[in-house]
Order: sequence, then structure tokens, then C-alpha cells
Amino acid sequence: MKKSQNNDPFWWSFFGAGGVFSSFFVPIHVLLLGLALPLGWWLWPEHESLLELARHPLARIYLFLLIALSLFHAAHRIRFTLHDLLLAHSVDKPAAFACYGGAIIGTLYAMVTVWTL
Amino acid sequence: MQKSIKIEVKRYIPEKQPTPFYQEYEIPLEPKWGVLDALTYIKDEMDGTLSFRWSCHMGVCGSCGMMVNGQPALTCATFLEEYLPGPIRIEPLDHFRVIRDLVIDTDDFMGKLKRVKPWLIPVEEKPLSEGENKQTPAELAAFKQYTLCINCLLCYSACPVVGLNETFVGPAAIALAQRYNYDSRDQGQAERHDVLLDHGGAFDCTLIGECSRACPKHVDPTGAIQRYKADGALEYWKRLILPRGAASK
Amino acid sequence: MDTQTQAPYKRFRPERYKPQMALSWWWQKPTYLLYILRELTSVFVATYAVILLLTLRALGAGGEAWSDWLTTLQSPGMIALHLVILLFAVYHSLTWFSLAPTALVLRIKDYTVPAKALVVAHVVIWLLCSIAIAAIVLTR
Repeated sequence: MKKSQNNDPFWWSFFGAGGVFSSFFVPIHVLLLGLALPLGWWLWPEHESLLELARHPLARIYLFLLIALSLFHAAHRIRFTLHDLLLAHSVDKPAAFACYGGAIIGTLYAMVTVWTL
Repeated sequence: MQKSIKIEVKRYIPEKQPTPFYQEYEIPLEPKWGVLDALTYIKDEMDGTLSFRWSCHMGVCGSCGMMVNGQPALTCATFLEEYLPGPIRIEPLDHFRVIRDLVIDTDDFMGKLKRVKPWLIPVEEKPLSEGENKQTPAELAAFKQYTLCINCLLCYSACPVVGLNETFVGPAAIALAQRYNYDSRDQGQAERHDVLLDHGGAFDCTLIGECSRACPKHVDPTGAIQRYKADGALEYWKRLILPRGAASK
Repeated sequence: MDTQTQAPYKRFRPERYKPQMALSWWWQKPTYLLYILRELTSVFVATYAVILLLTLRALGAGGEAWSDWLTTLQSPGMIALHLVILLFAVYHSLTWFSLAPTALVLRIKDYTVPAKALVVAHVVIWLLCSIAIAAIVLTR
């Protein structure tokens, strides 16, 4: 057995988990919070009750996973897409740094946000 | 009824000029002729200098793969009638180094194929006196599809990742690695993980799926690679977390 | 001549022509274009993750911040952005579900669940999840 020098399987695991999570849950949130809410398609609950809902422990975990995994999913794809579109291996290292770095920062920020909600 | 068809062949004659050029041939349109028949006609009747590979003429040997109007195809199984009224553009398989005209250099592929160890690796060799290795129909079904690969390299030409990334071992090599990984007589998974988890392995694939669309034998390399990624990621985490030696069998 | 050698053949003609991929390679086949579009959904998924994060911050910052955020969301630009995000997010979901059977092989004894059934199952679960989330949020 050889120790692999390649971290791609590590990032791929989060890419896959994020792909599953985001494909099941992102569209409904866009529809609800991005269109139905601002356009008043429904008699929306008041701020207080929405906040109460988001503060439920399960909701906190769910929201954190949704944001963090979506970011890691997107980071991995954007990194490879940049490589595919620019045909340059030299961009891969900086792109990986920026993409995964951005996802890590976003995850930490999401953790704080969900914790202090 | 059309009497003839124009064939545009991408030619590369290194001793003549360092870059390829296109040459046109107008050939009689015979019903039931394949693209390979057209090339054979050109070589026999019009221009003996044209070079191309072929052998069985029946979709089994995997030698006559070329780009036909930009799509990788076995020229023996691709018919002129599908491209009427023409012209038909014939080029060597994409992403490979070209030796001459339509003949590609397969050394790079052969090296990659060997790296994934596409042969049975038993833990210990069973002596002949113990009889044959038995396999149930279900055990055979687990890998049979991947044995159908004829190494025609159409999947390599179809795959943009192969073109973008020279180190990628490629669709057929991973499908053939899986052919042995899923064989009940084989215990070589750990050795193949070493190659497929590393740079140039299965995780370079971005699931474009074009390899499976190009495959004339319905091997489905896309599925083989995706299934490997699932197995490989599990193995990666085992190697990362579990004590040394616990992950490899 | 030594026929045993494993070295690449280049005794007489060592030249090789290596074609280069064009920057526009993804434009040359519909399947490649669809692939790039699928990959680009990730930009919109990431954008939405950030918007959702901002929504949560506004929600946590009190009633006034929340109504300010609602006003921001009501601007035509934000509505248009969300429409585009929704389009790409749905494309992401559908492509993800349709490719799920490539990695997932379900065997029940000797029976292999067909790929189509797996895709349909994914879509049904997706719709049920969406309805559940909508019901939880809207019936508060």
C-alpha cells in the first residue's frame, strides 16, 4: 500500500456529499426565500416565528450542512471547470487554493452564523 | 442516386512537411461500403501512400478507430450511406500523437494500461492439483461487461480530460482495472488503488460521459469510473483514518 | 533487429504530430456544451449558499434588518438573479439525479434495480423533500 500524494479523493467526497444535499434542497429554498417571499406569493409567517423555526437544533444543523456542503460541492466543480475552460495546468494550484479556501472560510462563517442565530 | 462521394483525409507525412494537411479523394459510392472500404479503395486504386491501420474488418480487433466527421468511430462499422451526400472528413483519433496519416502512436496508452495491472492478482497461486477456480453466474455478471473492451481507444478520443491532461490513465484503463477489481478470483484491489487514487487516476475524471457514448462495445467506462470513485473514496478515508495496514487487504 | 525491445518504436521516423486542443473545445459538440453548463451550475449553487447565509444573518439581526433584507430581495435585479439561480439549480438537480445510477448500483439478491427506476426514485424523493420543506416553513 502506497500513501497517496493526491488529495482529490478527499475533496471529491465533500463534492459528492454537497452534490446530493444541494440537488435535493437548493431549488426549494431559492423558490421559497428568493421568489415566493419577496413577491408575496403566500401569507408568510412573521419574522419572530421564522427565527424560532431556524433556531430549532435540527434546523441549525440542516442549514449549516446545506450551506457548507453546497460551498464544497461548488468549490470542487469550479476548480475543475476553470482547468477545463482555460486549458492551463498552471491555474490549477491557485484555483484549488482559492476555491477550497473560499469554501472553508464560508463554512466557518456559516458555523458562527448558525451558532449565534 | 448519387454516384460518388468526396472523402477528405487528414494526412501527415513527416518527411514531407511537419504539419498535417487535408487531401480530397472522389471515390465511387458503392452501397454497403464502410468508411474503411473507402480508405482501402483509395489505397488500392488511387494513392498507395495513404497509411491507416486495420485488421479484422468486423468490429472485433479495435484497430481501425478514426475520427469520422469529428466523431470517434470504428471505420469498419461506419457506413458511407450514413453521411450522404458527403463529404466525409477522416482524421486520426483525437488526443493521440500521430505517426503518419491516420496511424496513431499507442505507446502512451499501452504504458497506462499496464500501470493499472489488468490481470488476475491472487493472494497466493492455487496449485493446479486443487482444480479450477469456480465462479457463479452472478460473480461473472459482476465484471463481464468490462471484459468486452477491445482497446480501440475511441473512448480516449471522445474524452476531453484525456486531451486536457496527459497524465490521466483514461477511460478504458480504468474500466479494465475494474474488470479485475470486480473479479471474485482477484485480490489486487490494493495495488490498483495505489494507481487509481493517485494523480492521473480516476479522480481526474469530471464525468463528461462521452466515453460511454463513443464505446462501440457498450462497456460503459463512465459507470466503471464512477463506481471506482465511490469505492476509491471509501478506501482513501480508510487509509487516512484506520491504523496502517488495516485498509489494504 | 532486436525484436525483444520494449522501447517505443522510433528507429526510422521519430517524428510525432501532437494535435492541440482548441480553447473552444466545449463548443464543438452539444454534449460538451451541456457538460460545461452542468459544471457552471456550481457557480449558482455557490452564489445561493452565500445568499442563504446573508438571509440567515438578516433573520438573526432582528425585525428591522429582516424587513430591510426583504426590500433588497424585492428589487428587480435580485428577482432576476433568483430566477437564473433557480433555473441552474433545477438543471443541477436533474443532471445530478440522472447521473446518480452511474455510481450507484443497487442489487437485491440477483436482481439489479434498473437505472431508470433509480432516477425516478431520486426525482420523487426530491419533490417530497421540497414539499416537506415548503410545508414546514409556510405553516409556521
